[in-house]
Amino acid sequence: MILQCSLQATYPDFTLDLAFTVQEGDLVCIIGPSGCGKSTTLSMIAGLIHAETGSIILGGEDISQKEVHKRKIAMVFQDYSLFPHMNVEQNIAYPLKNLKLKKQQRVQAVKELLELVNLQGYEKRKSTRLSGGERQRVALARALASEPKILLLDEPLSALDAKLRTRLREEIRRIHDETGITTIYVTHDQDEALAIADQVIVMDQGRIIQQGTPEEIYRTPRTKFVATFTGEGTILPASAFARTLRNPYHLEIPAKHRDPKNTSLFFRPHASHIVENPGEVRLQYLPFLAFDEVRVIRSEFQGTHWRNSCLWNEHELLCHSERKPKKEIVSLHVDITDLSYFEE
Amino acid sequence: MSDYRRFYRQKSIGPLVILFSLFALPLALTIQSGVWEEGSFTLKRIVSAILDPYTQRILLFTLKQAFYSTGAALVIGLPGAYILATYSFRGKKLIKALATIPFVLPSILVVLGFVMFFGNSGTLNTVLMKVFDLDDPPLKLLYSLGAIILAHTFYNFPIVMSIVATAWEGLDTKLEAAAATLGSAPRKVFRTITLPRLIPSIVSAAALVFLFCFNSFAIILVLGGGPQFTTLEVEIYRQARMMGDPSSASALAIVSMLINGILFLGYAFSQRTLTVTETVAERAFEERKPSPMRTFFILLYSLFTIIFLLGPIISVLYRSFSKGASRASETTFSTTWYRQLLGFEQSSSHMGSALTALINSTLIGVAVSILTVTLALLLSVSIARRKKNSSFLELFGMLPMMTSSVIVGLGYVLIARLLRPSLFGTYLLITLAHTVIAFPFALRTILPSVRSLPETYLHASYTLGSSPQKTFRTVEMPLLRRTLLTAAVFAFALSLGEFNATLILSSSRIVTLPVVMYRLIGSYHFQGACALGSILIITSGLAFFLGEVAKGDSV
Repeated sequence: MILQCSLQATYPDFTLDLAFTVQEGDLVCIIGPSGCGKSTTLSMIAGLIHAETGSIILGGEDISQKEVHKRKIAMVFQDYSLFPHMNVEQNIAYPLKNLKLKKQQRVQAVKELLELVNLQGYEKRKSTRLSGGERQRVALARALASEPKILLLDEPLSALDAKLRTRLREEIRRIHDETGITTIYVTHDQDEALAIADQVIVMDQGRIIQQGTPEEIYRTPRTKFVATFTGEGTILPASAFARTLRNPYHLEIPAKHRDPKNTSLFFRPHASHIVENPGEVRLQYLPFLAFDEVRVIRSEFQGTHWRNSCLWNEHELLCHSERKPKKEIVSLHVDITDLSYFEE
Repeated sequence: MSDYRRFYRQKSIGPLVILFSLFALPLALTIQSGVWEEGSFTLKRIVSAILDPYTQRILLFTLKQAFYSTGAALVIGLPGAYILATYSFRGKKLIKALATIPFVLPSILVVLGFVMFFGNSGTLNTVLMKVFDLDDPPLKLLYSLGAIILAHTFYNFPIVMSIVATAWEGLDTKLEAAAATLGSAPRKVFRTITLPRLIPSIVSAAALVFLFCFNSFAIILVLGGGPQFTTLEVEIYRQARMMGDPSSASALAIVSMLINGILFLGYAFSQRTLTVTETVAERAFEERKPSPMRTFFILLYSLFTIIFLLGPIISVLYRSFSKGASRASETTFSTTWYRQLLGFEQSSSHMGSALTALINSTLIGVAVSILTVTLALLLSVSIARRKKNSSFLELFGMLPMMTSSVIVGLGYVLIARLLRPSLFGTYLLITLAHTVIAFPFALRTILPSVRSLPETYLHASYTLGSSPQKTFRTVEMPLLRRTLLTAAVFAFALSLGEFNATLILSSSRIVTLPVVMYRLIGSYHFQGACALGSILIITSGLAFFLGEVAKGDSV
């Protein structure tokens, strides 16, 4: 079922105004800094708070006036909100009772759901005695038990430590793939979003800034905000393009590079290559930018690569390299296919 | 490092010895008197007390009235808890503040306020007669089971309201949201998610109210109006004072203590489960706006609470300034009762002792508050700075709470029989009995404040060259000044309004404010009682105000 949202609401501290579409079976991540309205958006879809105007169309039907419990949209809350007066089995069986399942079927369904989230045999555990990761899985199983049309996850991993987060996000993706349920996942962690999403929606101050596949968002951010929020990189005035362009085979330059509206250009740190000897020629047929007389200020070892902060004509450049640069003054080459532009 | 711990440990010895002799000794005397006959141990009295049909009837009635009163307090208090926890509206703060009135209002004042408000010539009847142009008072409530239950309800429903509302506000509303997203309609969410989590607080409130009603004394004594409506506590008083049979009274007291012990355990147990609640109480979702129906309901309930709680108090204040026949319509403004009270004007017998009563009560109150606060402070620092046995000591300090004040009084009656004290000696015994009664409250006020003082302050002071003694005087005491003042005012107010233990200890020559009030009520001299009551209201009001201030800026 396709979900089409158009939501507007005014709050004392910010205005929410956005529209987006989620395709059936997709896992969509909404990312943005805290206070950007991403959790509010989720609560609106669930029906926990109401938009002033707008519509939420799910499979052709506008559900924006429907009561929460009739929407069939399940939500996993940030702190999981397991019912403390019920054990694991009772928590998961809670929505099954609302579905009017018989006792026998309920027991079977709970068992299957616990298997799905890898918690076999946890039925009688107290929900208050579980670890963070276990709670998260039970909350997920409980949400799935309600046979929702859409599953909402509100920063489901933010309360867990880094190692567990990586494991559980794989787990969430696996469960999504096994159940095929349309999922909206809110997080402030861009790595998490890029790793598991089919589609990423970047939000800021109550608005959608960009929607696209993780690769599109990462490689061709449309604004400075998206570029810096989703990772590191170098921002230069767009005029640097003409000053550093090398086109050894005189190929045609795509029009976007010459668009006068562009004020800044941007590239990721691993898109730039360090050339230590001025005479060294890279096997490069396509046009590229060459920054000469670049001073390496600082190199940090990151395990898989070196992260080098450099200075070029008083601009800071960021560049990854496989080995630590031997020289202090080097050249940097960036393919023009790795460039993006902003109008700000 | 252990130097200062020893210093604080030694601090507890004095108060423990004094508390032990003030509380445990009279109690031991009571128990001994109940099980000791002609030099040998016997359970005969207790057994015969339990088997006696008369006692059984009393016990049954005590339980019955406590049961009905608790039920009524729940029925009236729970909707209030719902309103306070769910909606925010104007006047919510006022209602929350009013709900603390029963905690500081002396029981004799509750009785007086009740008679002045609900009585045949009380405010409610006067208003109804005027509005509907009636010749006779429409509500005839006094001196019946209904009156007892109504008075208990007035006294206790705010306790239910505030305990349950506090627990309710602490619930994580996200759980309700989660249940809704899982397909439960609002009613079902309440039944399956909210209510089960509220049960511990409801049980706790009910146990507390039941305990209060079971031990209720002044209300039964005055409003019961006869042997027909006698409870265990009133019977203990009757046996000890009127029948002059302290041994039978002691046997009844033991029965009462056993039942109290069971009730208290129930309360303590529900308290324990109460502490295992959710930590997150973030109101993530929009405040619910009440529908017009609900708004009307909230308004009605608020109005009802305000009238029910403030009506009796205002009636007492109003009556203390009126003179004339019993009908309010024929009365005029007058300060006669205050002039008689202060001895400026000649007055009849009971009113004549009012000034002496005021002076006595004030002196006793001051003595009690100094004694109580000193003991509670010493025990508090000792408990707070101790690593081992701190909860045992705390429990010991709280013990007097578990026995009713009538039984504390009975213990002192037995001491008085041994010592045969002079008039001054009897006042001294009254002061000591008040101290025992006020002590747990003072400890409960002071101990948390001492606990919240970081021990690093002490360490800093020692490293700067002060001895433990000097640190206690120059660092701890000044930091605790506000709490000590609050505790002192509380103890003073408690002593000033203390009726149960005082009455059982007093002969006709003993006069304190509540006792004179009781005698005035007994001789239907209500205006005089109201003048004395107004003085109690003002001190209680002060205690209440200071308590709120201290709550507002606690460390």
